[in-house]
Amino acid sequence: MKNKLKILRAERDWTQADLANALNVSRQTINAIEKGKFDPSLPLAFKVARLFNLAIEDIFEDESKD
Amino acid sequence: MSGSKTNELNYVNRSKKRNWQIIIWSFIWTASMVLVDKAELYGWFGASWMTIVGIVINAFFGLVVIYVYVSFLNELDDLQRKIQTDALAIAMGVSLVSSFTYGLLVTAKYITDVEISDITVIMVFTYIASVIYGQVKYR
Repeated sequence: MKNKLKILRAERDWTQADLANALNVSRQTINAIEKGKFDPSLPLAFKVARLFNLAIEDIFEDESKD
Repeated sequence: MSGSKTNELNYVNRSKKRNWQIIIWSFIWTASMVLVDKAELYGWFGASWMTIVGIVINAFFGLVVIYVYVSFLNELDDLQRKIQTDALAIAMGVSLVSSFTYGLLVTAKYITDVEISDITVIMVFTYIASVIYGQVKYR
């Protein structure tokens, strides 16, 4: 799943470790999400949205075609 | 990010703590298993009830290991939990298939020296390999 996590993180000058700490996950998880290798769970996606004060859809792009 | 240095290792520290708990309790469980096995082999126990007590204590430690491992899984983040549960599923599947194949080989007398530990070894190595594969895949 494409996402803007890296961009949002860079705008705030946060490292992956900073973001991982804020979300209470491992840095590896942040790295995997940013690279599109791993999709976060719904609770984690909500956490991310609350952290950046954005809607989930503004951060994550659903690439599935119906 | 303010406070990040203080908090940055929260997840890492919890993981380390859980890892150590698994290691320590696994060691205690394994040690108790070896102790009971050797005690029975060399006749250290004076009575059969002592053997039973030793086995019950060993089983209790085994249950503690299970509890600690489940607690470990529940504290993992999404990705780490996926890696661990995928590894467990693969290890269980391989163990299941291996044990049935092993049984057939025993029935067909291609294997005469039956060792249940063979299946355990396959399960452990499959689990370890699967965890490593998962960590590399999501690097």
